[in-house]
Amino acid sequence: MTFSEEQTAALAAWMSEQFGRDVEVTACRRVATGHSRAMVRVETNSGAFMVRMEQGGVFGTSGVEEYGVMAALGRAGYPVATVRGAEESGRVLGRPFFLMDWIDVPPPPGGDERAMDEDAAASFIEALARLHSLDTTLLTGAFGDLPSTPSEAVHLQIDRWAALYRRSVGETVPLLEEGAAWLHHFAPPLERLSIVHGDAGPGNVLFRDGRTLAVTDWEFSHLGDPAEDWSFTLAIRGRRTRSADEWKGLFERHAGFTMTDAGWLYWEAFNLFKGACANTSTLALFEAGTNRSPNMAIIGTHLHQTFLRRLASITAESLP
Amino acid sequence: MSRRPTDGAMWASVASTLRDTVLGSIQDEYTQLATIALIGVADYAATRGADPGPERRARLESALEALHANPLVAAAGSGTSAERAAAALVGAVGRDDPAATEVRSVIRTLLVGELDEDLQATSGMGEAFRGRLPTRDPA
Repeated sequence: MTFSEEQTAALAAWMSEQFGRDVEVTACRRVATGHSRAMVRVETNSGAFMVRMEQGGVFGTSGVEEYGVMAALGRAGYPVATVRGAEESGRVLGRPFFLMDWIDVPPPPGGDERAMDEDAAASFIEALARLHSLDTTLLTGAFGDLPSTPSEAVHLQIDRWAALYRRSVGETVPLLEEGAAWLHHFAPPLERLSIVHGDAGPGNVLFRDGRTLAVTDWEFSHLGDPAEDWSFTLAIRGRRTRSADEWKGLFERHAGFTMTDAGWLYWEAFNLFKGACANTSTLALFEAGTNRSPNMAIIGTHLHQTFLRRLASITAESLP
Repeated sequence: MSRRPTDGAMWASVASTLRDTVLGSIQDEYTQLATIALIGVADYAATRGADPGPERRARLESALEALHANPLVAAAGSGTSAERAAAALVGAVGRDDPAATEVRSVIRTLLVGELDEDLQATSGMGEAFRGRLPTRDPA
């Protein structure tokens, strides 16, 4: 996918307005990653940029919210791509989008975007720990739903994802309802809120020479329990690249983070529930014709089923 | 009246043409991956058979009727079978008494078994999503 001539001209005009100088767009190329947003590399006479474009509401997340999060984190000196502006109306490219700097990085080891060597893993873990230690008031303006107490945060997130699945599917999925009840029942107490990435792990970090240049893909970010991110890295994104014990060792060594076995199980169930619910949104968009990409059908069926099956294997028992 | 090709045959044609004729000529990585994903979807459409939904609803209804004396099922109200199954499973969370155990062993086992059937049917799409051509040949 590239943009039509009209879209390219409209994008150049919008960028010129944002930058306060004439911008000429010389090339556009769809990047082969990303499902929640279409990612298009845009080359211009002012450098290379990434257009991160809405896909009709995939995963029920908001690009405008994501833009606000990245802008605030960038101002705080956190490693994110510099954002250059957001277009919310859809008038320029047909869908809302935001623009950020393109970050050139060497290809990942073996061409696997989820591969991380020891140095890169350590750098990522330190960056994630730093995120969790940031002052949450940095982002209070960026999120719609804010918990009134730390312990309310996890319940708010469970309700958020359950509401998305109910909107998307239109009928009751008993195993998801059971999952929501299980997560509410066994939710651990939380004393302090943190900024949570929500989709943390291999594939959502850019490295050079073992150093984190940018943490990417902030659409799932929210205020909550950092354990969600450590679990997401170990049980979801980093599952096929390192064993759980290897990840736990790295977390302890580079961030001082440890958790009980029951904690790991709880947060794995939470993340599987989140994924199973979020994935239902893509099938709804596929069937409505909002987004006909085949990956929307696959995420909404096979990936949803995979997450739900793993969730069901955990929620079959009470938490020890 | 002329015969119409079946949906299955037409989807198999889409998958086979994309696989054997189109894919090899694509250079762009994003387009290649989208085409492989489409092959996975077309394979699935060609082979998935009839919608199991009505039969599953009837089976769940029968399971709920068989457990009508179970207090968790009795308390589940009068909605659809899925709503009553959900209410019974939700009521059983955090409990290990006989009623909760019965709900899980009957209702849950049924639902998880159906989920396993779905996963088996969509496994080719899972391969395609990861950029690998589905190994299953619908023919």
